[in-house]
Amino acid sequence: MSVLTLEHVSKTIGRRLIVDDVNMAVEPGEVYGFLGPNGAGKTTTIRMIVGLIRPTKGSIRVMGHDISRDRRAALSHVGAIVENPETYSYLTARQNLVHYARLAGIPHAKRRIEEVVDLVGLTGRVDDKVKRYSLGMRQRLGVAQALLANPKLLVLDEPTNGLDPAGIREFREMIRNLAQGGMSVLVSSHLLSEIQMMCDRVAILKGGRIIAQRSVSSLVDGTASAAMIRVSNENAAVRVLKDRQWDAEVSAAHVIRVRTDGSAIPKLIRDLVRAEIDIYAVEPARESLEEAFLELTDDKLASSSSTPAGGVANA
Amino acid sequence: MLELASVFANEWMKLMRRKRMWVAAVLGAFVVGLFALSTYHDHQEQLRYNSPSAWQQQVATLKQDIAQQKAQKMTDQTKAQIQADNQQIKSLQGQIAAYQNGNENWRQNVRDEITQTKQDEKMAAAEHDSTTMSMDQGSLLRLNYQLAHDVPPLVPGEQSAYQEFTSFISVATQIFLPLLAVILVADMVSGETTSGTIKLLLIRPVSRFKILFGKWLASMAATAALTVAVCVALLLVGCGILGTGGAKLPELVGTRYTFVQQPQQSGQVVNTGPAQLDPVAHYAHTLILPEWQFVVYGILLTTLAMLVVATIAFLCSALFKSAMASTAVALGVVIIGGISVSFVHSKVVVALFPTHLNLFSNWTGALAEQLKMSVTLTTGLVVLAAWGIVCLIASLLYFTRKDVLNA
Ligand SMILES: Nc1ncnc2c1ncn2[C@@H]1O[C@H](COP(=O)(O)OP(=O)(O)OP(=O)(O)O)[C@@H](O)[C@H]1O
Ligand SMILES: [Mg+2]
Repeated sequence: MSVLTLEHVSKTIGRRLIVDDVNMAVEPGEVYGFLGPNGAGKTTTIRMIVGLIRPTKGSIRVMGHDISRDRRAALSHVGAIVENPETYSYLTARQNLVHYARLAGIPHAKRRIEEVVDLVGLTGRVDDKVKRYSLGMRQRLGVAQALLANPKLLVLDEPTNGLDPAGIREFREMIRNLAQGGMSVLVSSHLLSEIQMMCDRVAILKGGRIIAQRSVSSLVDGTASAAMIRVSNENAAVRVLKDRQWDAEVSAAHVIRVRTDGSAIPKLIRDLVRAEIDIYAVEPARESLEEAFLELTDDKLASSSSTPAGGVANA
Repeated sequence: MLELASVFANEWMKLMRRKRMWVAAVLGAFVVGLFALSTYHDHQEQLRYNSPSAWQQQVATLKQDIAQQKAQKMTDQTKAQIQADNQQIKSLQGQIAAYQNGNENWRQNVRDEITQTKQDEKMAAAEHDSTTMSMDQGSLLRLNYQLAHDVPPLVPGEQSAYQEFTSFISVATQIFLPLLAVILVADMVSGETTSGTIKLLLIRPVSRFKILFGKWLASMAATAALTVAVCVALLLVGCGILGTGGAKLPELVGTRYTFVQQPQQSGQVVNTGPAQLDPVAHYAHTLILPEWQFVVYGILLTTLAMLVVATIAFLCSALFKSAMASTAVALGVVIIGGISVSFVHSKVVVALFPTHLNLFSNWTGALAEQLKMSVTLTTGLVVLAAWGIVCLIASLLYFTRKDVLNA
């Protein structure tokens, strides 16, 4: 059974259709990416999933429980961060967690709080007032409260906002570990690289509609069309290969990039070896999801979403 | 039930740690300080002009005056002056003697007063002056109670902390206490919308109804605690300065009032202005309470009134998204609304909540006399309860339905 299903979900605010007939399902243990440029409707969809707003049409079910009709049962399986994880700044992190634990009805709250605090790496600072926390520490506290009730479905809206590179990597590892433990995770982001590294499947949202939904590996495999080769003399290598009708170019110092599909790689290596070029490494150059993403969306959208670092977070 | 208790525990924890709690507490302490200062000042004034030692001093001054007058040439004027002075000395000495005799013959005084009042009443009856008659009947009830329960009147110069308290409360319930309630409650919901914490609060497996109801309960508990604390502090400060004298003096409550046209006296020019209404008291439902008991019940009634004010502020906090806006609107409704009600001369005021915030005056009938309408404690309680219930239901209905979009 799917952990989360959305069927024909639409949301109209005022006269504007903001989410348009979204259908999707998140399976147990799956990390599901929600990718789209600013204003695509990611946050709006997430708000509907966690019951903050009502869908105008369609149904949302968590572990088979309809979020509108059986809210309590549905939400008892959900942990979430919606946009910025605002917690009570005048309370300590522990008091914040006690607060949420009471609402979730967690049996051994004390022990569980220690566990999640350890998990997100806030040990030692948990009795500080949250107003004295840095942005990244607040993010971690946000993740801690989302994990508190050991949910079946973790919903994270742009969770890596404000994390440092080490924090982002830790976070990614944590998400993968949680998924291995059977938790389903729905992550939204406009950081394409991020979705690519974290997710099993991805839905690309544009103007409130899902325009593509597929597994990350198929997206990447389907377009993998180059090999990166580390060689002793890159210029000589490119010259040799061009003579033999390969589409090759220098990619970096001692690295060349050759457009080809996987089946031609043995022949490519043979050609290089015959020309007495020393080969240190050969690997397929996967085209990033970003390229796939740009292919899938039109020009206007592409230009708005291809800004470095994926745009600015909206508060 | 358990969930509601959890929500309550949470809301209480947050309430106690917010800055607003401390602002309200400090303002409360300020109000108590204000009362202490004015009561102390008043009391010193009383001691200066209205105590045996003050009287003695007045006697001495008068004697000096007589000596001066005597030194001058005797005229009719000086003679009259001396006579007046002597009379005043006599009455002052009488007062001093009465004070020094303690309360030995207060019973006799009260009995004398009863006889006097009875005569008054008869005269008023002869003139068909029902207003004076009913007032005399009230006085008689008080005087007889004093005799029956062995309660001496206040000695001259003595002030009752209970009476000072009730007169201060009539101001405090119009402005100070509602202000505290509004400060405490007016951002209970909107504060969380403004800070965005409402999102993480509402995605828990607890219904919005319970969340909001728990918030309301916590608001009520805090308002009640603060109101009772301020009232008790006022009373203690009053007793500290003025002593506990007068605790057993009678207070009449539950008296009903009707209003009659002032009888036109023959020979007078017919009054063309609005008819003058005079109150007539009816004592069928009247209860006679000792002051201390009256004040204790009164504090409870005041607390009830403040709970209604807090509920109105709570509705504002549920309706508005910004904490600033909800606080401003709540202040506007409660404080400005409260003040403007006193300018409205229409029967509508009976239905408005600010009219009934000082339930002491509903109970004693002071409000009925002021409005010239038969307003009782029950009227006040019904009106306040209606406002409270409507506001609570409105906030629950609105809050449980609304989309949480902008947080
Ligand atoms: N309260 C609101 N009233 C009306 N329209 C809104 C409201 N909130 C959001 N929208 C609109 O809904 C659309 C989707 O917004 P949403 O916040 O879901 O986008 P998003 O995908 O989360 O974008 P971002 O990447 O910037 O966070 C936007 O066009 C926005 O203008
Ligand atoms: Mg968003």
